[in-house]
Amino acid sequence: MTAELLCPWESPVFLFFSSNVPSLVHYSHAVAFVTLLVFCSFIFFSNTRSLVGRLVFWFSIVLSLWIFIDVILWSTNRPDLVMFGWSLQILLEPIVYALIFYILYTYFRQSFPGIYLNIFIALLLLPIILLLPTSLTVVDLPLSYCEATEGFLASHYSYFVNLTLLGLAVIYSIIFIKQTRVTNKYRAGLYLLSAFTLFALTFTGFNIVSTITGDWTLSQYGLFSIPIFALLLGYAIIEFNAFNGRQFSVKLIVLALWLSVGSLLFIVQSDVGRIITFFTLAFTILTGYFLIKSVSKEIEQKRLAQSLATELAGVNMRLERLDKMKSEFVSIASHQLRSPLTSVRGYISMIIEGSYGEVNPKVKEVLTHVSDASRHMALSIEDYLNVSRIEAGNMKYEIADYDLKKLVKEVVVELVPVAEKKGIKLEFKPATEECVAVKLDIGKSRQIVQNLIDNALKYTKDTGTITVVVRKDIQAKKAYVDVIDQGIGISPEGLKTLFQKFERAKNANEINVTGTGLGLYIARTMANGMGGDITVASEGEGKGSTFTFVMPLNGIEAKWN
Amino acid sequence: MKDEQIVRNAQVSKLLLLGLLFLILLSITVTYNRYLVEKDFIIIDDLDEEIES
Repeated sequence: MTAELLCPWESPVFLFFSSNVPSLVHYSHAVAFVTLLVFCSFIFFSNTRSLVGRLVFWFSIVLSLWIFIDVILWSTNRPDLVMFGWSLQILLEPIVYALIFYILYTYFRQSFPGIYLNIFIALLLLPIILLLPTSLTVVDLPLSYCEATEGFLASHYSYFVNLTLLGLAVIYSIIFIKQTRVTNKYRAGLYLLSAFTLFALTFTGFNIVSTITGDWTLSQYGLFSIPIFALLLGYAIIEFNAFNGRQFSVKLIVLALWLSVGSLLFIVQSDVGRIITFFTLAFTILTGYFLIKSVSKEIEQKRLAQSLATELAGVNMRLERLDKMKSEFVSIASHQLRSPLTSVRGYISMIIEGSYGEVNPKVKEVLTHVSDASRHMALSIEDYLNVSRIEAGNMKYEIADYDLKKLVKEVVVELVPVAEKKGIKLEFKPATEECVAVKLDIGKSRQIVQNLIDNALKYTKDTGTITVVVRKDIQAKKAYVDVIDQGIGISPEGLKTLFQKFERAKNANEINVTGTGLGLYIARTMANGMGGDITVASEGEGKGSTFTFVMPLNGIEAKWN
Repeated sequence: MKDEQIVRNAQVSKLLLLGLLFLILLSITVTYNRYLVEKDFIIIDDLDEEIES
């Protein structure tokens, strides 16, 4: 008896064709089905190892199954098949949405969601799965129009699940997009998000409208979003190489070329035509092979370059950290050395001066050597401390208006006895009678001038002359301190690196072995810090040299003079 | 500890998925049985009315 109960139209031909199916249904379903399968298979086969690719593949399989069942529902006249198919569709829809969520989550996060999220989604799906055979899903089927009467699960709960999953997908995507830097992956992600959201909204939207109105023809319009979905995804693949699709598209084009040229062999009738086709095919196979190989190589190189760049950035950060640690270490070590050295020097000078009783002249001589050596050591430590301050950006300047001429004169006067001791004549020759007002840090400027004269003293052989000139150029608004010596001079190559850290002139060791190569580096950095500079000129080795400390005039000399 | 947790989460997720798949297959089988074998859901009232009219 039941076998005779059929819907009021004839049995379908080839499963899909009957008078009950409007042409719109065939059209919408065929386009969506073919587009979906071709496109998603393309994404899957372009990178079979990618988790997102696999999820997209399963998405296309489940949705294609839904479309397949839908056409059967329209065409069949068997009520039992309608009820079964209808129930299956209700089961498949939330699975499609769950897959959309997993695709977007995995694409942006590059990992699968955590256990709690998975359990939450499973719990959302569970009522539909467990209650699928009950009348809560589909109630009955009036035979006159052969459409199932939907229960609460189908008409309300399933839409709630779909929209919840879509909402979750959108929220997570937006969170990840906000955290991501603007890269190709980010841009492709925006297209991916738009494509899936557009599809999901239209699909569910038209289904809801159909449920409310009872007109299921309307639900077909939802499927028209599939080609747009494919277009958006395709654009993301071509423009931003999402899913590494470029390599696969080249393979696809080459394969199509081979097939089309190869098929000519079966069509062409003449022998000459066959020979030409054969050679064309051979040529196409060869060039196609090289094309695929070169594209693969280019992609591989790009990937390598990207990974190298990432690695390099990491190494660079590590180096910067190490450099900072080194500076801190030097600073701490120098401080630790300076304090005990100060007391050593203090006690030695007290012993030499006789504060602890009369000292044997021989012991006194030895102690004087010890005192000199500890002074050198203290100066070197001061240099290291200055370098660590410069590198840490902790060098502080106390700028004030001061007469540069006066400052230089004071330093020269201090150093004249030292020069005389070495048999060197140290002269101070100001080129101007007026004062030279400059904005400077008095302590540091004194240190700079002292350093330049000290150098001149170190590298000038006995009986030479050192001239210190202070001059100013009102038009250029600059003040100059020239320290001119008749020392060992500097070669043109030496001039280029003289102001670099730990750099000394090649011939420097011949006359002075105690230098650290930091003095000029520190002096120039300090000069730069006060808005000035230090320059050097030398005609070559053995021809002396001139160091010039340049500072901008502050323009208030008129008031001072 | 963190790695172990990730591995355990992945295992639980796989079990969850397998469980769901099993339930889905079971549910589909029962649904198939309900509609294609029993067939007690068809309302023929409307059809009778149509035939009568």
